[in-house]
Amino acid sequence: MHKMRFERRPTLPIMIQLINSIIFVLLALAFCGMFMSVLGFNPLSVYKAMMLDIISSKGIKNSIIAGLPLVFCGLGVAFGYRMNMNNIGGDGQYALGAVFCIWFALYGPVMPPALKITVMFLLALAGGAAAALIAAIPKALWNVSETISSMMLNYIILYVLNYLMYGPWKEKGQMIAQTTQIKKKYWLPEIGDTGISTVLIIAVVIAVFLYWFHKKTTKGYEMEVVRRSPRAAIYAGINVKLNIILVLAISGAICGLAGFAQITSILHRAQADMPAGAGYTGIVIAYLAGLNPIAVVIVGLLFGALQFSAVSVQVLGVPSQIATMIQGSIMLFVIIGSFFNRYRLIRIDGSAERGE
Amino acid sequence: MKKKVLSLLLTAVMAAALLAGCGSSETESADSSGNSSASSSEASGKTNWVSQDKMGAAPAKDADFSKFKIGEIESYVIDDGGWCQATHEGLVGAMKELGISEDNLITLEEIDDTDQAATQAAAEQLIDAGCNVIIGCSTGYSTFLPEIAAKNPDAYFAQWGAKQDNIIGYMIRSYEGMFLAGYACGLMSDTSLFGFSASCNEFSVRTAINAYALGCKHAKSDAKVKVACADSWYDIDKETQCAQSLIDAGVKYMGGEYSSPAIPETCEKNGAYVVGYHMDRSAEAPDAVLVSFCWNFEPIFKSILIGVENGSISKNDMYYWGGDCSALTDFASFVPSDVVDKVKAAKADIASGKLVVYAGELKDNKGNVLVPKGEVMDDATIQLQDFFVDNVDCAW
Amino acid sequence: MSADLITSVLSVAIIYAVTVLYATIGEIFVQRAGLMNLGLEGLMLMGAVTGYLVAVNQQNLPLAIVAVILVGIGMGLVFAFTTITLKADQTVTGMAILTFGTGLSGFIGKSVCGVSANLMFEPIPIPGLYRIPILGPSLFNQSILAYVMYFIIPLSMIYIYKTRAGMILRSLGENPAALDSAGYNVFALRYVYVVFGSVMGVMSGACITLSYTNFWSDGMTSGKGWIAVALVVFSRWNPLIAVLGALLFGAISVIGIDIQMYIHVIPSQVFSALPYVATFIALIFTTGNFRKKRSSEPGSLCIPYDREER
Repeated sequence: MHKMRFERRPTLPIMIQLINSIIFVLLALAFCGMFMSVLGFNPLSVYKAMMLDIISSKGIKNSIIAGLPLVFCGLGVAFGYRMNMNNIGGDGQYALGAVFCIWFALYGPVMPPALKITVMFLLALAGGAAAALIAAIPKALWNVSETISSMMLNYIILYVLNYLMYGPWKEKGQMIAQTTQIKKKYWLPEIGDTGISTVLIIAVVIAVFLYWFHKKTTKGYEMEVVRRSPRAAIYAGINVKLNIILVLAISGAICGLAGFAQITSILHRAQADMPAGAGYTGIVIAYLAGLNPIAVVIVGLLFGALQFSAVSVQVLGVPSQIATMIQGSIMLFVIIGSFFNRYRLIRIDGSAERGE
Repeated sequence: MKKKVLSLLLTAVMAAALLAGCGSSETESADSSGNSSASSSEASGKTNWVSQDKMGAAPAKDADFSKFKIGEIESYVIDDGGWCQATHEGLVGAMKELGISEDNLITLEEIDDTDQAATQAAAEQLIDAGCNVIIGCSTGYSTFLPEIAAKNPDAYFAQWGAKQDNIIGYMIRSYEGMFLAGYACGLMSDTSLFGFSASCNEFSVRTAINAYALGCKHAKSDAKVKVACADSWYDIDKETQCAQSLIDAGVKYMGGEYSSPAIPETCEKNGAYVVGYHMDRSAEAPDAVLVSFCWNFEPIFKSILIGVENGSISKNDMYYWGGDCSALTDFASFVPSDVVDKVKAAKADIASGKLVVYAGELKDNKGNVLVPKGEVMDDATIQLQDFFVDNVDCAW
Repeated sequence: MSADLITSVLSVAIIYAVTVLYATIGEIFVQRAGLMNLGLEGLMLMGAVTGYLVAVNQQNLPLAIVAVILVGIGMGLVFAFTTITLKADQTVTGMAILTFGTGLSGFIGKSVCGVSANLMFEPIPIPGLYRIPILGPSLFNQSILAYVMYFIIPLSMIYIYKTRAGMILRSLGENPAALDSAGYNVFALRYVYVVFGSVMGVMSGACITLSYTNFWSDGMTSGKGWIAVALVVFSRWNPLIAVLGALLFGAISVIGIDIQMYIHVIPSQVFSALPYVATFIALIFTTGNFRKKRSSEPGSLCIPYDREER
């Protein structure tokens, strides 16, 4: 009988990663299916209903509506995570980006639409960056954990949004805690008449840019070095503090774009509790996409699809929490499965020195 | 290289934006109106306030409801012990009275009313399932439903909240019930200090606060209502703290807009009294809840269903009913019988029109006159409740 | 009036603190052992729903606690296996536990939403002690879960700082390699502490549905799990400071509402945000490394122990 043990993989072929992920996603779905059958549902028919709903043309549209904010948050979090920065503050950055953006849209000077939307874009970036900086600066200067501080900021900024939406910026004469819609001329158009917003293009462009940045630029390489070893980075003359601030600021800025997407393309206004946990879902998305920006777009849209298709299965009687359960278990199973990305099973026999 | 990509990105944005600028021709009025729904409903059809006399009208003998398929979109779960439960029970009750089987009802729960994709998916799902009547339980859906309603003219959408295009509106004059509850508190209390534990700064909450305050004033002319603000629809800590703070400030009788048992439980622990809200809360705190205000949607839904069946319904209809819809439970046994009698009398006065809740002279808590002497407030202003009456002490 | 005010603020603060402290102290042990479980909110929700389900269906409180503990052990084992044996990233695993726990709790809680259990741990006034002015009615008129916490606090302080086992615990987090060389089973020890932390986490949830209030509602923990995470860092992994922090947080929340009833110029949301602002500022001052001195953070926090990489 040969003995087996686990050994670190020297390389990581993409094929293995992909197969791995698919197997474990299926396992996760099976796991949730177990809970469904305990409650008396047929998991296969539930999943089939969800798939059919997603593939329909309305489904694709709705997936994008639900998924765009998640994609931006995922991109932001993934960027931060590449430098071991735990940006848990996605919600707050999203909200502050939205606040800056809607302020200019509703109270700024009248301008040609192209210019106005560009400024709104920049302000959304600025808002997200500002929110992130409040957590980044203490981290850079005094090594205060950005995980907790950005999370506290979520609550604080959401209260600011709450105040504005119920109070001074609430649409006059209306009952809901939201602003008026921004003028139609400031809406970003749709692609042809598919009903899909051009913000999707912006998201893809940003994703491609980030991918190229990580792989090809000096700055990207620098960040990779700082991530792997802060000491080595200092010896190499890289300014660690500045990097921390830059990384978190950019991470926050991208999350702020989720607000931009909502205001220019989806809701066309701002609402109280607009983020609705997108920042946290963004973390799940970033991880499952392996921090790869292009994968983030795909996974983000899939999560959007998952979220609204849970609505349709309610008609079958399945509780809507199934969507969160599926998200959580996919994540858990893929995490467990990622072990096989890093380690492989080998036999121990006489020829142990001969690796594969 | 980096600069190139950055400028590429900016160009992409500007290109998209340019398309926005020279795209389809938007009319001037759409541009400048800011899409206020009040003005657009005027444009498409005058709001038809359905008279309360129609309440309780029976359907015709040969009315056929068998083909009805009814959908409801709930923002939370239907057994939340609060708002959604009230809507659901009202709908089920109305269906039962008309002989419509519960199999004809499709319920979609936990559709967050700020979630566009979910709301649209829900409405589309119900339409695809063949629903001809769709009820949206929360105001927030009105941001998304009018568009879907316009695309599906054969289905009738009904929505809680003020009137929107293509959608039947319904609201309950909660102020009638809360006024009576406040009146009862005013009669029972030794002091003139009352409290109110409020969730969020929203029209139905403000209505409850104001009506309660006016009710207290009806019993004690120097009644003052202190408001504690939770700034959350649902937070047991905040609600507990609000009740506790009011009690610490010397309040013994309070009203509230809340969804958990936290406030009744806190009152009971401290020997204070509270008005139940949304549903009968006497089981949660038998010694503290003197009466509860409940939403009774059944008459409204019944009327809507009858109207859809016999064709008399119009998409410009707006139901703003009080009376039996603005219901109070029975008073707890510790409430003296003379208080109960006085409240009953006041209720009759409201029904007959002798007692008007929002009647002049009425000032707000900033000193402005809301309603001059001899006049009464119009329904549209009452619906919005963008004010607090003069004896309300509130941070909002 | 003033003494009453202090008593009632203290009362609410204590109830709040006890609920959060179970999870906080559990997580202190976990982090001292070198791991970080961010999924406390998910644990709390699972504990809350499990305890309530059993209370409603079996009408038996001890059984409810047993069920809660079993759930805690189960979830703890999952986290431990994933992060210790499989050496997966701890932040992400925590988030997975959080998401799954949130969804699952809502899923299984549906059947008891709006259903009254009519069964909870009632406050038990301790004769004599609870007549002490000001402190008495607030400290000594609490449920048994609170009294248990009163013991856990000093016990954990003694354990961590005064016992040999505590020293081992501290080494687990600082320098697991040294322990390994000395012959201790680092993996097994970490498993034990993670499971302990997980059980404490679910107990927090049980406190909410079985002693703080007596009902279930989807997501009713309202962020308490995150407050616990913040408190662990704020307390510098010291249970006593965690207690003070929890009390402070609870007290500021109450006082915020009190003040907001009188001062109307400042929007009410400012007071709602106050506890979080206070925590943020406190975090900077208590954990900030202003003078480049050694941080009190366990040195090997979040780094999975791997013999191969020694």
